[in-house]
Amino acid sequence: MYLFTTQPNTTVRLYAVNGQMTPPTFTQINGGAPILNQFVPNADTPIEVINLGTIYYPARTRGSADLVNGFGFTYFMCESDQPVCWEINSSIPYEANDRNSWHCTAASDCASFIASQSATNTVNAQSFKGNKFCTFMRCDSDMSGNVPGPYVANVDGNSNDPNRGDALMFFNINNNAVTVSVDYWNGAAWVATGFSVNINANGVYSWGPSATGRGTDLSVQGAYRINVTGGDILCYKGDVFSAATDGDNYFTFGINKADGLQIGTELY
Amino acid sequence: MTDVDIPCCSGNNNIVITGLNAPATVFIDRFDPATGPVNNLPCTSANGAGTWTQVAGPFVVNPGTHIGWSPTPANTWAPAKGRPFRVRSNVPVQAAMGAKIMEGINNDAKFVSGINTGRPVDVEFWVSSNYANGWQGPATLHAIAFLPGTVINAPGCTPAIQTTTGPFQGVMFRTLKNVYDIHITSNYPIYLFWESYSGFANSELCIGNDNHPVCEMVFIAPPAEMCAYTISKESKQTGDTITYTITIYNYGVQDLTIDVWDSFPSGTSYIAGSGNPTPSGTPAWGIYWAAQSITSTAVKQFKFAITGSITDGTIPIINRANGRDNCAGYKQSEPVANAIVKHLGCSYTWKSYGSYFNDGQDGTWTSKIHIYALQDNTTVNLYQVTGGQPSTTAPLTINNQVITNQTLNAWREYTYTLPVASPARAYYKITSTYPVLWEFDSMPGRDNNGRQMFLYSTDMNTSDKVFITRMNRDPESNYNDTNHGDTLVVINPNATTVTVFIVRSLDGGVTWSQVTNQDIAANSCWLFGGTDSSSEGLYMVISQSNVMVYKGNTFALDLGGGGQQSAFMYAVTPNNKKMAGNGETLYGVWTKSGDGRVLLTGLGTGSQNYTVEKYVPASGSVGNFAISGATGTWQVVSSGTVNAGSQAVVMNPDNIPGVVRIRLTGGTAAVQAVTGGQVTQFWNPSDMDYVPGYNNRNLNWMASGGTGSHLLDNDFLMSMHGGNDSYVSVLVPDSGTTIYLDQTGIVTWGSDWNRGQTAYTSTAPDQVFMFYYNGGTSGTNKRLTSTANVYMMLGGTKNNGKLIEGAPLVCQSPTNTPTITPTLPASPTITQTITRTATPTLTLTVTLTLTVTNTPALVVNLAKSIDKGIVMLGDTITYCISYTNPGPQAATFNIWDTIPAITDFIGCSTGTASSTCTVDTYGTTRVVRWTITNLAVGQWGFVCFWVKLARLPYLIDKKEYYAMIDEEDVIKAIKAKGIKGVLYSNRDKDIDLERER
Repeated sequence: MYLFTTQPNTTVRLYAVNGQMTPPTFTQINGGAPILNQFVPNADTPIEVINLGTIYYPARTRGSADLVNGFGFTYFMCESDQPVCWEINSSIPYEANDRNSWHCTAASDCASFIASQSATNTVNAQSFKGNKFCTFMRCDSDMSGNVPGPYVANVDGNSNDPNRGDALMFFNINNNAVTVSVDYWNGAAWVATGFSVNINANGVYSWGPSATGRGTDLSVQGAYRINVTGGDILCYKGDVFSAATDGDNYFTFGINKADGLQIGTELY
Repeated sequence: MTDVDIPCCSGNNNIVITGLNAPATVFIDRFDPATGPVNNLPCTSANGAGTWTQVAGPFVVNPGTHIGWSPTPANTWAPAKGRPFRVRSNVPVQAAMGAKIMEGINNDAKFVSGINTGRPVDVEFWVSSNYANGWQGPATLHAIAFLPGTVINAPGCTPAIQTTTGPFQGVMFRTLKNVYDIHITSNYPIYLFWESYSGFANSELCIGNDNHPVCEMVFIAPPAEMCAYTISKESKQTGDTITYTITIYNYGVQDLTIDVWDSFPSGTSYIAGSGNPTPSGTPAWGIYWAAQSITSTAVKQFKFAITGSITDGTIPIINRANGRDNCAGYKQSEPVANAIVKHLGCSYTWKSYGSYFNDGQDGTWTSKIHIYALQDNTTVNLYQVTGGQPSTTAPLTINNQVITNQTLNAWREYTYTLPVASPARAYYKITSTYPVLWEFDSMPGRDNNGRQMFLYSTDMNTSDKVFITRMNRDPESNYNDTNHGDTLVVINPNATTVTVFIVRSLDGGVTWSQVTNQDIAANSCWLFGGTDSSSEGLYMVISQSNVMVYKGNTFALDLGGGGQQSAFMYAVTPNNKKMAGNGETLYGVWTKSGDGRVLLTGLGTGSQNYTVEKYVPASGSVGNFAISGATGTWQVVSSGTVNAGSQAVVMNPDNIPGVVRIRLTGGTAAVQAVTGGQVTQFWNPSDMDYVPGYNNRNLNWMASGGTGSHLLDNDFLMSMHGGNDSYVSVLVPDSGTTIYLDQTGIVTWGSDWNRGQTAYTSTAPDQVFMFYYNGGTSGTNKRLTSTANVYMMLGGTKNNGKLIEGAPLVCQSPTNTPTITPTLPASPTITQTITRTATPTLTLTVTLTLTVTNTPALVVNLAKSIDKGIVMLGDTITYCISYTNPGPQAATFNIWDTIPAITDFIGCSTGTASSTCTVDTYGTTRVVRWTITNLAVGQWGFVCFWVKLARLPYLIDKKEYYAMIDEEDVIKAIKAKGIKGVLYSNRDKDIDLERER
């Protein structure tokens, strides 16, 4: 899970509670202590919520050693005094805390539009449409014997392949050209990647931070910020472009051009 | 498993477009980059150059439905993965884009946006699943609620409903196979999250014995907003009082200063002081709270109560709450529906009758009578008699009280479980202080127990705005499957769209919550249901305009052949009748082909032309139910002519059940129609229904002041159809009613008392006659006439699968007055002779009438005495009436006696401390009356009154008095009447009867 502040001086709290379906769980999500309670002085700061004392599984399947009676899941509640954006990527650990184990393999695909950071304190500005986005780009998993657990057929990840892993797609929904540039987070500040592209009116452009500009490998995995001038765009992220995937296990809702929401009359 | 192995745009990749609030016309465009892909990335042309090209559409997507579209080979342009598409529509829609969208196999996960807010926080959502590759497992939905008591309805999921028990809780639903469009609603705002069910056996990640964790997923949690709120409204009804709670949740970052207001619906009035917090004002139009401060993330509630101001009838109450904030704008809540009913009291008692046939062989018999009070302080009594095929020489009298003075408030249910053991049949009389609705209900079975009925409204109409009923699950293995059990079908016969609300109570009517609402297009139908174990309960249908409401399991998935055979009911009209004439239309439901049919019967004179039409949903039969969506058309199946006294049958040509209507297009005959399976051939598991009467076919309950019903009549015609036996019961309210019934085909059983008879006369009030026709009567019509109004019912003998809406309760004069024959004292001896003597002989004939008020089952023994046998002019006579209560319960009753016209009233005694004495005058008749209150079982008392013999002579012919003008008239009257008992005395002359003989 990654959270990105949009305003300076933001306090973020994150709560979590496990649940199950049978019998149904009715537990207050913020009934206990927060698993994250952090004051963040700057805007656009990524917070990686992973290396905590407890691993929170987005879901566990039936048969898992720790949830033998059915699948469980975790509900999260993020609370902040300024708007934040947050995204959740399944970590798919097998037994150990190997959060990147299967990302971008043939067996698993994912894609999503990214919520915009352009919370400029105007009324309800936040949506999937905007001129600034933050997200975490992940490399392909590497299954060549480095992963704890049994070998799984048809999984041939390669974390060093620059043409695999996450890539971005920029939808210029304007009738004029826009310029898109990308920064990366060095752990303390945003640093320009050097990538910049002018996108024609109503054009679409794909890009990844690897050396080939096609994906994300282990060397460039991390948090990225997309900056746009000239208008608001839609920004799509996913590993469905990777050579390792067969592109049949993903979906996302189309985003409306007018307001950046998931319902509308012109959906991308 | 790389992109080069995957054809472009394989069937995996698709777009699923869901219609929301209005029919949408949509187009799909594809982005074609100026140059081809590089290393898997589809859009690498310099400057993102390319064009958008329309590749599909237009498609029409109706609200609550979806279309799935996949790129065809013609659109091939590798790679398929990540190819940009867009959806254009004239109205807002929702579009999911990707692959294997919610097929259940490992897949992505996302938050769903609500159709009101367009954001992930809302009270109403639609999700659609695509199954182009075949269903591979269930998906899951997670609802995250803020408020305790958030009721989340997810029909088509299991469980179908969940209610949070505290703040900020998440609950999970699993979608069901083959349920593709799911309408999620809640009373308070929720987040809704949608994901595939991980680890399914067919998953690519679950190979061999490995059960690996989830699929890959990435999703963006919904962002916060600067100023935003949701407004919702719910109602709680206690009797005639409705308390509204308006809830505003500020889910934005900023604090709000908001105006909140609501209206008082017509026919209601505000309950002073109920506004909380104290409102800024309560003008005539409604209530408002101005400039209310609600801090960020806080919830604030506003409450007020109203009550009905009507005197007789029903008002559906449908309205919304409103909010406005300078930053977040104006919003309205979803509409909330309630109803208030007020009916006039009856001078005597409201009552009705019904019967239930059962073989008594099923140990799991759980047949019940459900009674629904419509207004506060309604007291209900139920009387029963059980008996097999008549084995005595007399009809059965319904006099065993099984519910005693049960008081209910509005919308509360009282359930009586029918006895389990044989004998096979039970008959009922229900009485109440205000009209109630009642229904006979056995659990619907899957295979051989089809059942159906039309509901009566709260104003006893077949077409109206407010209905209440109970929905039952399938009692067999599919009790958790919402594709089984009872369904409602709401028929809108109007030329305009009608909005219908479904309101439910899972606790016997104590609390009610709104489940959903639906716009039904003109002349269209909407199916709601089925019913699983979690959704079993009471349901109200509240409509803005008159609709007809079917209930039954005819549409249940896998309803077996027996079930398709046995369900039936009489068709109804939009103008509240079960028998129609020229220009009118009857509506019904038939089962699938092979069994499903309409049986038409002509009545009156001449003939009638008919056209039978079936309802065809616009969106086809989607999912498991034969009716989908809420718009459709009618297609002609057959036309013909039926003569009075004859039958006509039209069979369902389709292999699905459906709604059918019969339009009467020319002629003089009236027509009644039975719709269902193998109707009116009552093999054991057959359904039951009342036969509509002919003479009262146009009678409207409300218009008559509740004094009559189209089921209470003295002339019926029932058509026998098919080769099985038929069972008929005739419920007779009044003593001395003679019924005449066609005997052809009547079967005699054992010491059957009715063998060879053609007329039967009730010997007491509240009796029932039972008849049994053999299968050889198929194709014949049986006519029943009677000297007073009766109810006629028919059906099979097995208990399962019966569904009968009880006949409307009517208010009529008490006809169950016991006839009391007083035992006169041994002395004096009453001599019924006329003696010519100078001393007049007083011959007494005492007529005593007792009317028991409101508690007809009371038994009170009376005896009347007189203090002298011969009286002279000017003498004082003392009459005394003793009474005893032999049980079974305390009795409150009136005793009255007529003061003889030839006497002057002197006085009366209260007799016992608990009685009062009153003299009433009715024209020239004076009556002395006592009210005896709460006379305990085994107790007794007496009352007396005194009169003076003031006038002579008078002749008494039992109940008739003849004032003597002259002797000749008296003698003529005596001779004409054959009077044996004569009271006379001389005034100036003697009367010489002997001479006049």
